[in-house]
Amino acid sequence: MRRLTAEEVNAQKVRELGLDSTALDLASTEAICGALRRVAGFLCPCTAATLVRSVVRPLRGLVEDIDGVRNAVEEMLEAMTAHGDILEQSDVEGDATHIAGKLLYAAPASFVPRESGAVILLGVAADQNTALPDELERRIEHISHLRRLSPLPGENLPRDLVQLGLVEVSDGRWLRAPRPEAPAQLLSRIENLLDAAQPSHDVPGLLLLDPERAVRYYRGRWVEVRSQTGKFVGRRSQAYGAPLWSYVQLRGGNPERLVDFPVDGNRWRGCDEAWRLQMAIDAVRGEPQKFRVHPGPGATRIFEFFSPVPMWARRRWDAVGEPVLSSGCLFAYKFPLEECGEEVRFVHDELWLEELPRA
Amino acid sequence: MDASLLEWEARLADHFAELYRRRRSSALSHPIFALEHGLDLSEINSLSQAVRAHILIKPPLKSHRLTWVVYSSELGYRYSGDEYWQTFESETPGWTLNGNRYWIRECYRHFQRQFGGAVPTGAWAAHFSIICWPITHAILPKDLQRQLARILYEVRHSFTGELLESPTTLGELVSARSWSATSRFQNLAQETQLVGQISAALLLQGERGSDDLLHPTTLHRIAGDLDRERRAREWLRGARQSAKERAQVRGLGILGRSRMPAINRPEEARKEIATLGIEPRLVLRPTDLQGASWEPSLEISDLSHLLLRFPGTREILTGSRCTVAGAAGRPLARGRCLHGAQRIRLSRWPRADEVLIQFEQRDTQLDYLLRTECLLRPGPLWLFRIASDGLAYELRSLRVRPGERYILVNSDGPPESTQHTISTDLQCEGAYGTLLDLPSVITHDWEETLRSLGLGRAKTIDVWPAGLAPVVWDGEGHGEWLASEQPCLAVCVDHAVDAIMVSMGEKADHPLELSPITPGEVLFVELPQLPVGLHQVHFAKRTCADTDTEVLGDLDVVIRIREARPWSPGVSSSGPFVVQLDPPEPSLEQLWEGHVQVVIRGPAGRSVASEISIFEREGEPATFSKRLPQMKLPVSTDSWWSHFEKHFRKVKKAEEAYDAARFCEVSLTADELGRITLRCERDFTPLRWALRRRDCGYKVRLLDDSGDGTQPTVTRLSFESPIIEEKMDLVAEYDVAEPGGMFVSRLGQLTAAIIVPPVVRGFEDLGCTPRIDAAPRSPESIIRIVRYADLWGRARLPGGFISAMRKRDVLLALDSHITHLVCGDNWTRAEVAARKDGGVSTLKDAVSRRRDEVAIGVVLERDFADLATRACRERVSRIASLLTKFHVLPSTSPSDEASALWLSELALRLASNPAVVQVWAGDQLRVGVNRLMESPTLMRAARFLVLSTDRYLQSNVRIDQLYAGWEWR
Repeated sequence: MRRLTAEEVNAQKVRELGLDSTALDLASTEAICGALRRVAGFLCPCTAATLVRSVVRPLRGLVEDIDGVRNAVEEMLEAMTAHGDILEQSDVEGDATHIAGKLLYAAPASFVPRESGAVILLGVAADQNTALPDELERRIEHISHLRRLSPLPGENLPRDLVQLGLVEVSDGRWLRAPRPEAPAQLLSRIENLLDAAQPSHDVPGLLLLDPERAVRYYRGRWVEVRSQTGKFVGRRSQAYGAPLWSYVQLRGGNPERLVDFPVDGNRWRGCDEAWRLQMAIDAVRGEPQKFRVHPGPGATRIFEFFSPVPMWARRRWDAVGEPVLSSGCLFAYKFPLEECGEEVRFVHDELWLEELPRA
Repeated sequence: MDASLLEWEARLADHFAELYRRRRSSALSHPIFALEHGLDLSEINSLSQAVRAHILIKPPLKSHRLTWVVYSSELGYRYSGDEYWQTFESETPGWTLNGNRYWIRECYRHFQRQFGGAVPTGAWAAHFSIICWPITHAILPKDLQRQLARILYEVRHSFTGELLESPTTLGELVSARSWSATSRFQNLAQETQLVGQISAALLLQGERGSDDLLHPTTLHRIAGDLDRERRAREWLRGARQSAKERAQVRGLGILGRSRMPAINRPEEARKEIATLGIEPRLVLRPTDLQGASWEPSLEISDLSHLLLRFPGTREILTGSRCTVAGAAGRPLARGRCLHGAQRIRLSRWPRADEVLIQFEQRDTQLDYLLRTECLLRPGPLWLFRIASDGLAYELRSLRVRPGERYILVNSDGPPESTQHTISTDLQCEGAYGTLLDLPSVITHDWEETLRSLGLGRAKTIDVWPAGLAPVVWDGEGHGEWLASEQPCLAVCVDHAVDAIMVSMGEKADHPLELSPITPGEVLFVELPQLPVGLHQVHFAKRTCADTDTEVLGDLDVVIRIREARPWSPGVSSSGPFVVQLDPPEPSLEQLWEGHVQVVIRGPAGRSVASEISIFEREGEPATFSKRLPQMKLPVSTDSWWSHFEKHFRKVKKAEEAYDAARFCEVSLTADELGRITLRCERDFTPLRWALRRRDCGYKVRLLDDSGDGTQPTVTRLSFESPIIEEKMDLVAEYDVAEPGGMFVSRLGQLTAAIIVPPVVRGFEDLGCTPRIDAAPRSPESIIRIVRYADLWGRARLPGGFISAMRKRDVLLALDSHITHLVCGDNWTRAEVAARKDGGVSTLKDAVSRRRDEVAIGVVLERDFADLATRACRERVSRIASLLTKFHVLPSTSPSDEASALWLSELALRLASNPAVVQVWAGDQLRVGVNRLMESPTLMRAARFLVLSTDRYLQSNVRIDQLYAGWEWR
């Protein structure tokens, strides 16, 4: 038994996560993601709040800005859920007479093979850092929430991983996106659903995404219900489980009609549909959400985003780029120069975002 | 060629004699195995050729015994659970003519006497008294190696110097951990000496002393085979690493002790149980946003820890359903408590003396263990702290901290309302909740409120896990870590103290002194690498350098260290795709005949794909494989069965493949949600039938691996006369005649039966009309029919559907006959009339014509629709209370109540399926039948309920059921 300094605790615990303690500390995104995967193996199924709490509480005294770290943990959890390490699903133990909350589950250890022969690792192995043998685990490249494994000469990684028992998820299935749609078309389709919805009563705990507020500060767009009139993307807290996302029509602050997301089956999360709808709303009203591109190290470009995007967009960028830290935005990706043109087109055509002029 | 065999014999004799001499000279004198022959692969081939050349022309000779021992153990090494003798015969031409399996056993016995050879032990060896020799002497057949490597990896943190020096104790540990392994591995694990010896040898390979455990060539061979599979290699490497590190560690860990705790040492057992941390924990979950309504649940720990420490509880933990006190739903499926923690919703607050977890099958030792740890903490008050995730977790003390929110639960009644408390609705009978939202500064008023509620204030020193969350942390000083980690604690005080002293162990010698202390500063303490078990860290504070330390008893940290479970493919309890099986490891027959409950859970509406493959031999391609149409989640047992039956079981090729199958694999995939592959092996009993199709009909073969010196008997029962046995001569194979029937073989306590279907040429062959000759109305007649029903019910079914239909026809006939014998002619006539008119009124009148009992039928006619929707157990209670009310059953003492329930269940079982009576009733059958014959009204009431339920459910039965709605589980 001995006394340790905060630095020594940091180093020891980063090593326990299988990460390089000389380069990372517990507040790094890689360590946060490792800690989230670890607690997911112990605690899932549970709520996002349970996972965040379990990662943040042991950091007291080890990090200076515990609230800042809490925000980072929440953002990383969202990135990992979009990526597929953690799955948001209805409570599978719930019954019809019970609260049908959305809970977080640990995805099984799986991988997505890439054309290059590399693989993207997904999922959680309870009680272990990964499901891989030590020799493979040591070769994992950790980039924020992303874990990549590249083949050695002559090595067939997908075959080896299948033999080890990991589930192969084809990239077509992993990257599956909704069919392309113009923003007005999407908005009209959802509004038709809203018009056809039954009249709604009181909706406790409802928060609204205010389209009038600046599109470059996502957290600042959320407002409480007062006397608004119109149609809004909203979310409402649940007693237990993730909030429910919806499109709601208000008159004088009173809900008239409401459509819950997801409306297209449950392949995507409610928030994915809600965020996409908000992008369409912003685009249709002539105030599209923004993104910014600036030069990155070497032959790369950094794309910065100010609002969350659906999981299928993040997965695409996880596949072709790398998540990077960047201040002044919600999240950012680094892309090789040769991919930039196609990604700019994707952001314009599929997410209806507008590029900010370069400084 | 005989000269060659003699040369081999001489060489082997020299080798084993030298090995025996060396083994005897070592301190532990481990037995010798035939596989330790020291030959390389080319020499094994040469020896095998010489053996085959000899047996082709003449019987084996005594002077060749060692070569036969080596030859048969080599076959055992490749054995993967199929028919040992079949493989032996096919690889040894001439064996059937010239060989004799009893002679092989004699060879091994001679080997044992002359060279100190190993003697097979355990229940498996007692049942398979010949093949146990070559398989034991094969040490670790190839297909079991991977499983041993996995178990050694799982228990690697329990290794100590003493354990590695005591193979039997190591074998006991492996045996205790083998509950989730295949049945073949479990058989092997019964031989704890053997398993311990091979385990120690594999772990210590290359270390000093390992040669005394196994011959180096043999060890190298087994390790080489293990190395070929990547995952097994990794597991063994990890286990070896731990063994190497811990070989020098003595006296640490609970497993280093030589004996398991026994029931006659209760205090020690209590301590042992505490180390396992199986105490359930209460959790409250909010059901509304305002926190006005909460739903209690009980979180049950993973009981596999209990299994490892108390191996005697295995049969119950793996094979018995579990009831949770206060839970509304059905009992938990067999084995479910061994696969991670379970959270069970409570509809009733358990009583103080009520054991929270109870298994259907009772056992004194397990009852004691559960009584010790599985009670609610003493009431009537329980305190829950509302955590930031919205859940309220039970605390171990009634102490609160400023700025926190709590729910106080009282089982005595609603607490008095005060200005600081808010009454909450606990959705649970027998408990009342109060919400407390403590301010950051506790005022005098608040102090009074807390006092009046029976609460105190926690001391203002905080201890928590630093850096990473452990597996479990209750926020109040109790946590669980993995043995692969080094726990690290953070300490913080909010007031001035001179020093904090931290110590471990009972004596608390040489504490770590933390000073100086600045209020609000966080300090970190790294604990040493701790072995598996329970550890306590004591915290004490000293306010001035010259004063005594004050022990902060409430803040002692209790640390439980457990083994990390190795990852293996499949679904986990933390994922969204859950497959529950009951029994947890069904046999091929149970899967095929629908005697397994399959529940597949997952997000509603998502699809699950299934593929089923049937195999005849290990390592060979499937003989039949089919991808079934997708199912929508969730999948119930009934929908699984109808899907399986429609899309697989009724497929002609599947039926054919099933008859020769040894195992099948069911693969269930739900895209990224997960995938699981279930393996179902054919039941492997010492006496069994094998069946194969021929062009027109079947051939059946009796396989006798019992090694019993006496010959089994064989009889045949036709479908038309299902309780008349025709004696058959014992021959190698029976060419089954056109009408088919049931073939029964008996040998001592062993019985094996198989139903062979008739040749079907037209619709008229689908059904049959079993005849049961009139017998006197006596208990003996009824018991005789029950015994035959049991035999027909347990007989193995081939793949074809027709045999299942014939079996059902026979059981229905036996059922009717029993009913006739107990209920009488009038009732039989009423049943015939009811079949014609399709109603139940005629039956109602026939339940009893006695004036004081006539209302029984009326009540049943009124209630049967409701009862049809309930479980069998509820119907039993209803019948018992009704018949007691009308004095058909006595009700003067508490034992009468239990007796009424038992007798009612007997009547309902007899009336609905006589095949499920004999095993259930055991030696009480005769007494029960006598009682029923004295009270035929009970049997008639039972029969009325069976038939009316069946009719209400429109006779919608599975092929293995006689009447709809009567499935006895």
